[in-house]
Amino acid sequence: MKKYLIIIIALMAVFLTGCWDVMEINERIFVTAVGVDLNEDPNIENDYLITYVYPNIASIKKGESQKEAKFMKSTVAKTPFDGSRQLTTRLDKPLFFRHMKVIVIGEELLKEPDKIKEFFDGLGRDPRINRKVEIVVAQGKAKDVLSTKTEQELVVGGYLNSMLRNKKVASRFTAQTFSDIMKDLQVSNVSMAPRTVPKKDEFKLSGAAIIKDYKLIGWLGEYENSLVALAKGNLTSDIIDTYYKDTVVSYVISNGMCKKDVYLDNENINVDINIFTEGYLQEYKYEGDTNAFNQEFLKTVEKRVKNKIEKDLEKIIGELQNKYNADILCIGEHISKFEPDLWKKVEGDWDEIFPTLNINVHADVKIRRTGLTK
Amino acid sequence: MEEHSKVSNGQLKALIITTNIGVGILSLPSSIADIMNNAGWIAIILGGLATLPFVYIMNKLAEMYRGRIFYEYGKEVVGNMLFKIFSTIYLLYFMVLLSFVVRIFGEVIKAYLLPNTPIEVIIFTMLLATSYIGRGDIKSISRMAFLILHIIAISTIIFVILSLPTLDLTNLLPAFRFNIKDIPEGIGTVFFSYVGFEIILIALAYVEDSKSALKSSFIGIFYTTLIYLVTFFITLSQFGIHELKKQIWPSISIMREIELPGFFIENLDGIMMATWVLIVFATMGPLMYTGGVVLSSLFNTRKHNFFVLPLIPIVMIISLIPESLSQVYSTMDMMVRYLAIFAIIIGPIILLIVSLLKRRKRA
Repeated sequence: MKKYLIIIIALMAVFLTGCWDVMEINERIFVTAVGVDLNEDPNIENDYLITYVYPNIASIKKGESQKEAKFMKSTVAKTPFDGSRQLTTRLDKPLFFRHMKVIVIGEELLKEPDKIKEFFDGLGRDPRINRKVEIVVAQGKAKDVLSTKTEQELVVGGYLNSMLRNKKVASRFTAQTFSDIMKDLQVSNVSMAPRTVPKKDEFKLSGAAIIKDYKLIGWLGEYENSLVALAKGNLTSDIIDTYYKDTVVSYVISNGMCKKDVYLDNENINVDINIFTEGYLQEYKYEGDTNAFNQEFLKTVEKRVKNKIEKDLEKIIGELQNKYNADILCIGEHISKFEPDLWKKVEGDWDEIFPTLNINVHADVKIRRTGLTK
Repeated sequence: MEEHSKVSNGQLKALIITTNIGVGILSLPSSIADIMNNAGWIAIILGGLATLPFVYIMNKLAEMYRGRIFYEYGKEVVGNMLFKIFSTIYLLYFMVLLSFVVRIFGEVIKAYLLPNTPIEVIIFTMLLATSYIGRGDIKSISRMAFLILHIIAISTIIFVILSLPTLDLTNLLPAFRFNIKDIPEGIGTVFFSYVGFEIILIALAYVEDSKSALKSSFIGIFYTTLIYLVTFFITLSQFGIHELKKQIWPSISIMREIELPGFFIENLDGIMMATWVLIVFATMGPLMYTGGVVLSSLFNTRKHNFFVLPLIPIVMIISLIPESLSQVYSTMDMMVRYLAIFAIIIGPIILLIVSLLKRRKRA
């Protein structure tokens, strides 16, 4: 009798247990990208227009490439997180956000700081959303970016994501994850996010949106973005053109470093931005007598590149100080870390002090190599 | 005492480390950053030092009454009736502490792993699992602690290595600026992350080499401090001070900040959670055991194991009283603190003073 009882209990343990939260992988919709826009349809009261993009798993199978590779659903909702609940009325499976790669924010929405605060707070709270999700700002509507058909990669989310990860080539844009942006905004109230511009059959990823106090205040172009990246010390590689005897000379920065130095004199706060770049020569004129292999030529080019970097960067910094009053270069953060005494004094009215800072840029440019020819 | 039922020094260290580190490690970096900002590491070190006198007192008591546990010789020292009251408070302390630990365990599991499972089920299954080890003797508990310690050590090392590429060490600055007034509050907060080491009130009676027991206990506290420090530094340099303060459980959230090269594994928090479940198990097992032992000394029984199962429903009810997570961290945390002050500080000190006076009288 006892034996049977034990057997029954043992069998119960095997057959009656199961996973409470079981969720099969094919019963989920893996959202790869989400676009959030301000709703501009006056007939509907809700504030957000949310677009979800997810791959058509069935089309990934071999031989079925003629099927639509991705699906896109849009909905209008009161909060960004209502959207996925609303879509349950139109979809057979639940949306799953754990593998979401990119969030595209529409330009108009970013002009409303309260809505952005709500949205960012929700993103940080939700345990199902990866904090490493990339944030991109659309110059225009996020929906238009996401509805573009891309050639190489079938799903826009993955396409955008591989673009953002492709940082080795140029610093025309700087990828920013959600957690990077949140850190920046909390430290200095200012952050940047890469800008995308929707075009007819493609979209362009270039430049940056300047966000201050959770609000879009302006845009940076491609070239400005790479200089700002250089001054922030996270430039990976870029090209700078200058001239030598009426010929364009291209200099490729293969390694850029930046050091900030803050010191006081006569109640003025001076900031030295010391930039150091290493690189090689990309092109010069091919002629019998041209020779890039002499010191005089290299020194001149180095000097011109140096002047160009200093001049252009100072112009951008002037714009940041006077036009946007946005401390993108994290000078405030630098002071708070390395000069905490000074920071205590200026912390309260940093917004008034930042435009009065005396910022000097010093560049040190080195051409290490000239390629294979002399 | 027979030879095979003894606790070795290594096991004693492991027991102290694993019972110390539990749910506190999840919230410690952010709660200490709230008080001390970047200088939180000072409070962690001072908090570790603050526990040492009490570890010493417990060792002194164990030395005076060698081979007997606290809950036995206490009756002799302060008298049977009075010590019954003591034991009741101790019992209450262990039950509230267990409920606190298991409730936070349930909340974390629910937030990260099992969103649809009712929290009652998570709590109940965890209590059942730990009651198994709680029914064993101190020897098996210390063996378990020794095994789990290695898992903690390895996972801490992996945690450090994985987070190295994304660390921003400038976030640690300014590391030496703090307000002297904040230090007592900081130490207070840290001190309660070390609760659990009162397991040595029992374990010291069974220790193999009682001469070096004090040294082993100190080393156990030292390693705990080290693990807390590493966790604090890594979470701070990863999040930065502002974001760290916003997190409820920074030590787990940090796994979501980490990216492996090649990004074929994401959301590493699942792996970290698995180790953390073991860590909580190693905290709750000894607590269950102690609860049983205190009950058995209250009722003068020889064995403790039949008291462990009845603890489960009581602990479960207490753990479900707080309505929300924020209430767990305010009200319940406060209760644990007040009871811990008695259990760790007042109880042992009274016993030590009384027994020293008695001894002097005799001499």
